[in-house]
Amino acid sequence: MMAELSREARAGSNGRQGLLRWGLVGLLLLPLALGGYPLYLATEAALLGLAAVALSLLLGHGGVPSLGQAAFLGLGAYTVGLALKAGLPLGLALLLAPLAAALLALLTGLLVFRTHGIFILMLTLAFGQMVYSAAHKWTGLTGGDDGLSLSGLSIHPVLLHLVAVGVLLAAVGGLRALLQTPYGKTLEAIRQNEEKIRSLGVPTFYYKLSLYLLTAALTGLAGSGLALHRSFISPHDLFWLTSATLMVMVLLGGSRGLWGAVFGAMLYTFVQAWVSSFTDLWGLFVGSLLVLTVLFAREGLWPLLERRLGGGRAGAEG
Amino acid sequence: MLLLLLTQLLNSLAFAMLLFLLALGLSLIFGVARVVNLAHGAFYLLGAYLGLALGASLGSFWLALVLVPLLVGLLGVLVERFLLRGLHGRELEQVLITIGLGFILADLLRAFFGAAIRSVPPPAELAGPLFLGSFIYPKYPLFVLAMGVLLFLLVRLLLARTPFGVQVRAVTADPGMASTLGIQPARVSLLTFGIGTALAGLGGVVGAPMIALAPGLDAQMTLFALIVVVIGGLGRIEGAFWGAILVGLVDGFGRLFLPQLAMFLIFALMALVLALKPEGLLGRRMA
Repeated sequence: MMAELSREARAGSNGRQGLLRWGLVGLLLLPLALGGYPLYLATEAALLGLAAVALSLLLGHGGVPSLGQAAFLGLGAYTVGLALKAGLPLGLALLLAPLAAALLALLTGLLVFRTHGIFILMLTLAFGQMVYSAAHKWTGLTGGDDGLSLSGLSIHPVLLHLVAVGVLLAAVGGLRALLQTPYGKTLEAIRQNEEKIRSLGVPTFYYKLSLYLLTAALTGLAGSGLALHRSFISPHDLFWLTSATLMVMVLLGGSRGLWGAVFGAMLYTFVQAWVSSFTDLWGLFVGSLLVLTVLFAREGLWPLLERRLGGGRAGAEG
Repeated sequence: MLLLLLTQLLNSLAFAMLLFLLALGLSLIFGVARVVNLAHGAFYLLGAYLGLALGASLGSFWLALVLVPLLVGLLGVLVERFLLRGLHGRELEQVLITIGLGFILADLLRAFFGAAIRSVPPPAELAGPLFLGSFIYPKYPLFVLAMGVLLFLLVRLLLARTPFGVQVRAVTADPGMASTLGIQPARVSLLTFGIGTALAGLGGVVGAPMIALAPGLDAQMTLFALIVVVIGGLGRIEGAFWGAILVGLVDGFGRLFLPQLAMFLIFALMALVLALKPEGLLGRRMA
């Protein structure tokens, strides 16, 4: 944490850090020139990146370890899918998706934030699985195991990609700005010592709940994007493996600063595409990655990169 | 109708005892090692498949019932020693390790035993029904029921009366104070983790004849165990026991009367408990 703060303070190396970030954006945009499967993967990475950025804000800055993000992702996807099936215009459907996710976050958050610490993780997991079983069992609405197909719709892949990257960058920029506001500073303080902040008279419950709503809405938006992108929604994407996958992305990249989550999502998406070409042991892959990340890259890879390439302190991580 | 209700009551209670085995291990481990073991369902599934394999190759359910918990417990000890020990005090990291481990185990089991649904017959001694006048009921769930209740009483006695039980309670209450009294929390943690995972493995062997084995069962059992400890209160075996019975009854009668909504009744129960008593029905208030 201290390393993070001192790094933020050293304004001198900001130029090279900026370069690193532009490099990341460049990598996201490069597949536009290639088209086809690379473009498909890049859009996937950008949309999952949005969900990872939301989790990164929640976990790394709000201190809320949510393991139920797949529910928001899935709810966003199903909302857009069902709204389009019902004949609503695309714009309205895309508006409804984050709202539905935020509503679920409100209902569960009111209960979840009555507890603390690791219980939050258990409860978000439990409520996430509740939504999964709903999607699985409510076959009349969701199609159950067969999933929901959005075949009638065609959005040009280039347009979808540009929008996805645009939304992702806007989210990173906007949320980083939010962290500089008194609201953001208070969240940071709550993460570090909630007891102390509450005794100062700050209603920490509502800070955490509002952050939960915000990140749920963003995750719902990411989910709606994924539904349009894949033009298929499967209930299995709501399983907690997806929540753990988002966790892997965030931890792989580094849970603080939000750029790490973007990097983690890209890295994961491409590694996963490569790995899935020779194995279908999905859980083994995600699980091993999770264990290895926690054991060996606790701070995440992005801060490491920033230190190595972003100037200064290269020797700190020998 | 009355007989149907009685049948369902016994079914629910037998299932509740399985949940108790899981929740007991989860609760003991959390109390002592402060780790929420989200690989618990995977240890259950490992126990179940090992029981299936050993039972078939040794030809004895009873031998498997003894051997499998030992094997699963040994794996648990190794996990605690080599993966979790180094992360002591870092709750989130430890939980993430157990999640990863759960996925790895479950996927390896699927790769090894296949994705087909396997139903395991009960041992010959406990196969078939019991006739009590006009009431006919299979023997096996009754065995599970009796075992669960006995285990509950036994563990309570062990925790209250034996030196190791006292150490477990001391470390659960205050690890720092316990270590000043000459107890080694690390050793107690290691053993408790082994015992907790062994209980999950035992649950797997015992549960296999009741619940058919299939991929995905691990996540379901982890979820059930979590809900039980959230409802009953984490860190107390009474919480695990009564929580399991409550969840078992709601699940069983939910399936009977509202089959579509059974799972949601359990979540509704959990939500209700959280709203009224966030520390669980029998839990102590957490900071």
